[in-house]
This record gives sequence, C-alpha cells and structure tokens, in this order.
Amino acid sequence: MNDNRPKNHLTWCRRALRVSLQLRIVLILALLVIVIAAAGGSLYFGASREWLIQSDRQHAMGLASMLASGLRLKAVQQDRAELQRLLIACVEQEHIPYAAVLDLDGNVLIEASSGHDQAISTELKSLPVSLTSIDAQGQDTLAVAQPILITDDGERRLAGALRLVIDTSKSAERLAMVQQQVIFIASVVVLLAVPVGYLLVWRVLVQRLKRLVAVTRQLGRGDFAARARMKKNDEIGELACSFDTMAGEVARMQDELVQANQQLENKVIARTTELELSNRRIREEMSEKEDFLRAVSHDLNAPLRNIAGMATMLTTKWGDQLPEEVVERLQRIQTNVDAGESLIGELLELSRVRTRPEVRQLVDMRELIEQVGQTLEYELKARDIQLKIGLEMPRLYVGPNRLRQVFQNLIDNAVKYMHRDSGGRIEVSYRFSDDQHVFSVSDNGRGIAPDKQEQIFYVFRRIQDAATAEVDGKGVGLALVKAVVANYDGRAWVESQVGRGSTFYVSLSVDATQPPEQGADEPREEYNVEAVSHIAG
Amino acid sequence: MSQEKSTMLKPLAILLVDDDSDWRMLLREALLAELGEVEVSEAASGAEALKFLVASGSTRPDLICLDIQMPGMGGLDLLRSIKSCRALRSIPMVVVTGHDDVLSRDAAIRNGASGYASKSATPKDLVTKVLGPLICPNR
Repeated sequence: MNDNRPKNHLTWCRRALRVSLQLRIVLILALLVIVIAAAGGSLYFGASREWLIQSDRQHAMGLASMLASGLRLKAVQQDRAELQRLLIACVEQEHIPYAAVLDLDGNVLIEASSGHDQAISTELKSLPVSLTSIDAQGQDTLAVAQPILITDDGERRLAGALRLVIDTSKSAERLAMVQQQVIFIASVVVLLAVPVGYLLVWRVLVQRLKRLVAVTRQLGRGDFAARARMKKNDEIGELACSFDTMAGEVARMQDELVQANQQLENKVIARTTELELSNRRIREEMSEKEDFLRAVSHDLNAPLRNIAGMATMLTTKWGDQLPEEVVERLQRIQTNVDAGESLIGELLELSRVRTRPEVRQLVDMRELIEQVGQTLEYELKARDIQLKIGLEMPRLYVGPNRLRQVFQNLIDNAVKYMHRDSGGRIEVSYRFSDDQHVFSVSDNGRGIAPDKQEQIFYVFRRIQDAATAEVDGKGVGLALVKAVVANYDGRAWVESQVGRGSTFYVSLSVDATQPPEQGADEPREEYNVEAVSHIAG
Repeated sequence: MSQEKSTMLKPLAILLVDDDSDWRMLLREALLAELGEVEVSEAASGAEALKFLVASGSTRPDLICLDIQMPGMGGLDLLRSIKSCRALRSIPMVVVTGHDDVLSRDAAIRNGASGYASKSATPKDLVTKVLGPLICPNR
C-alpha cells in the first residue's frame, strides 16, 4: 500500500496543474498586463520623479532670479530693513524655509528662516558666490544660489548673492500620493478585467471549444447525427466545419457498413437454406439407398434359401436311395449357395458402410485389435502363426464394429495368404505421422506382385493364380477396409515384395477421430426408422 | 421322435402363410419330418389366410407361421387383424422372415407375434428350435 501514496501524490499534483484552457489564457493575459503595467509604471514613476525634480529646480531658479532682480534695487540702496522685510515675506511661504542675501565675500548679510535646522545653512555655505545660478539637491530640499547683479555705469557687476532653500518634500509627497492613486486604480481595473477577460475568453474561445468537445464525444458514443454547426468565421469555426464534414463521412460509411452487413446476412441465410436443402436431399437419397439395399438383399436371398433347402431336403429324404455322386453334387449345390449368400451379405455390408454410420465411442485401439486376435486364435494356432500387436496405440473416437471388421479382414487376409506351414508372423503396429493415425499389418507371407497391388482393393478382385485358387474368401474384404477408412478421411494401401511378405497400411485422420466438443451438435447416427417400417409393413 | 403318435385329441394343425411356395414346401417337409402327424395348411397371402381361418370354423390351427413381406396384406397387417378378432387372437403366431434386424423384430412383437425367427436358419432348425417347442412344449 505504501508505494501507492507517492504515485497518488504525483497524480494529484499533475491534476492540480492541469488547469483549464480558459484559466490558463486569463492568467497569462493577466500576467502580461501586470508585467507591462509594472514595467511601464515604474518607468513612468521614475520619469515623473525626475521631471518633478527638474520642475522644482526650474521653479526654484525662476523664483530666485525673480527675487534677485527684485532685491537688486534694494541692494544698491543698501536698504537692509527693506531687504529683511522682503526675505521674511519669502520664507513665510510654505515651501521656502530659508532665504538669505550674501555679500561678495560670501558672508551672510541678511537671512530669514521659518525655523529649520542648521543643516540647511551648511549646504548653502558650500555654494560659491558666482555669476551663474547654482543649485544643490538635498534630501527634502533644494538649495539655490542666484547672483544679484547691478548695472553700474552700463556694466553689470556682482553685488551679492541670493540663497534660497526650497522644501521639496511636499511636492514629493503629492507625487507619491498621485502614484498611489494610479496604482490603486490600475489594480482595480486589472481586477475587474480578470472576470471580464474570463468571460471574453469563454465566449470567443472556450465555449465553442467545449461545445466541439461535447459533439466529438457524442460522435464517439455512436450518435452519427452529431454535428457542431458553427459559423465558419475563424479557426475554431473552421475546425467545427471540418468536424461536421468528417462526421458526415463517418455517418455515410456507417450506413454503407450496415447495408453491406445486411447483404452479407441475406447471403448467409440464402446459402444456409441451400445447404439445408441439399443436406435433406442427401439424407433422403441415403435412406432411399438403404431401403433399396434391404429390399435387394431380401429378394436375392430368398431363391438361394430355397435352392439350399431343396438340396438339403433331397439328401435328407432320399440320401440313402441316391447314388453317391448325386449326393455329392447336391452337397456342392449347398456349398455354392452358402458362398452366394455370404457374398450378398458382404456386399450389403460394404454398401452400408456409407449409408449406415455407426454410433461412435472412444475406443482403445490396442484392445480392439487384441479382441480380433482372440477371435482368430484358433486359426493362428492351427497354422503356427505368431501375432504381435504394438504397445503404443491411441484411443480414438470411432465406430468399434466397423474397425473391428477392418482389422479382422486384414489379419484374416494375412493368415489366408501366409502360404507357409510354420514360422508365420503377423505384426500389427502404429505410428503417428502428418496428422494421420497410421496402422500397419505386416506379414512374412508370399507377397503381392506390384501390378496386382492396386487392384486387390477393388471388389471381387483377388489375385487369380493357382496358389490362391484354394483360398476361400470372396474378394470383398479389402474393399470394405477401404470404404470404412474413407469414412475417417483415411486411406488404405499396401507395400509388398513377392516372396518377402506384405504390409497393409490404413490411415485415419486425426480430425475425423477426435471426440466432439462439449455441447457441439452430434451428427444424427440413428438409422432411419421410417424406411424400416415402409419395408416391413 | 418324429413318428410317435401324438396324445392329443386331434392332430396338430399349423397354418403356413408365405407367398414363396418353395419355402412353404420346405417348411411343410420339415414339419412333417420332425413333428410327425401334423396337419399343415398353407396360404399364399394374408387375405387367403384370413379366408381360411374364417372358413375353418371351430377347428382353429394351433399355430400360425407367417412371413412379413407379402403382396397385398402384409404380415404385420395380418397380425393386427387376427389379434383384433376375439375368436382368433388366442392362436400363437410366429413370424418367420428374411428380414433379420432389431426394428423388424420389435415391430412384429408389438403387433402381437409370440415369436420371431429368421429364414437364415434351415427349415429343420426352425422346426426343432422354434416351432416345435412353441406348439408342443412337452416334446
């Protein structure tokens, strides 16, 4: 839990910094305004203070020169009392705390002050007496020295000097007050401007952006009719316009998609119907074929039965009265009828492999083959043939009876064509290759010539030669094997060498021998009941 | 075994119903050979069989042996007809047919057959193993 907290803290910071666009713009603008105002303000204030100082000085100078020229006459007349009176009148003014007249040597002749400290006179004393007006800037004061000139015989002559001290503090105060007022007003204006600016930014920028965002979200949620609908008179308007165009495109593509989907669905429905129809047709054909086969087998077997029955009856009733040859011939009739009947039976089975699918189950192949071996045990022992079954065999989802027939036929064939009195060996083994389960039955019998190796899988084709003449069997066995494995997408083939033996292979595809998924539809394996009652009734 | 006189009041009467006359002949021969004195009547179709049964009056057969596949009235229909007739329904009926599968067997039993046998057995085996025990349980 502890390592979550720093992350939360970080996201909180990030979230706090993620202020809205509006606020950001307003803050930036306000900041700009304040910076500009501050810069401008301080410049202005500095300049105005300079101006004030200059103005004060000029004013002081002007005053001093006017005073000096006014005093000139009195100085010439050496009228001290008048001079004194004039000076006193000067210092009575609020902003002139000190006035003095000096002689040529710089000694104070007359002075008047409105009671300020001696610091003033120190400043003044430092000012030399000269023909030019001089000033000295103090803390709150301005000291001005003005020469008093008299015209004597057409010559201008320095008679003395006037010293004035101007109190600048008041004007500085006034300036400061004005500055404060200006700052106050400016602050108020800025403060008022912030909400106004806020509102303006909202109206001009953010409101429309927010609306655009809302419309975008609407479109994202699937409302393809969402449009911004703004006038196109600036960049945001253009954005809104192109958004509307895009939304129109999206809506159109959506419509096309829906339409295409609908068309596809219609096609699928049509195809499915077609498929169902053809499926039904196939099923009907299969059941018709099944009906036909049953009828055929029934009707073919009837006369054969009668033939056998008649022959038997003859031998039973009159056997002792008939010549031996006749009885023997009658027995041969019986044998032939048996052969015919079992051939019909095998043909029927062969035809049914396709039309009558067997109910499937999970079968242990080794067990199945062992069972076949057991049924042939007597034959194997009698002919001294050793049967070996491989250990590693799979469990497959197959019809057990048909596969039992397959291995029965293969092993039976191996036994029949062994053609040796002893030392016969039959080996049944398994391997997995290429998505196929491959079983093999190999023997050390007489082998099969290459030109016969393919035809033996066809019905009735056995190897016609003297050696096989004594072998019974009708030639349907391998055809059945081939038909059964075809049901599992497999093949049957042989590898053989005359004199060395043969190996018969059957393959079953992995896909066709997989148990079905849970809940998947099982193919209908039951026999067609309607077909039976149609024949039986 | 086959030549002993039966101890019953009247000789056994068996009705064979099958459209195959050769087969009827074989079955008749086997019955006579194995069971001795039996009265074997034949009918080539279901209709003929019913006619015979109606005409036989009080002498009903002790066993009816019938095939399923016959022209006109088939074996199952015949079974049903006989079973629905109060006078005849007590007669045991055995179906002997070329069809040999579970569904045919079930259909026959459902319609009232007392037994079912396949023609793949020889007539002699049919008689000794199926018909004989049914009709003469003490033999």
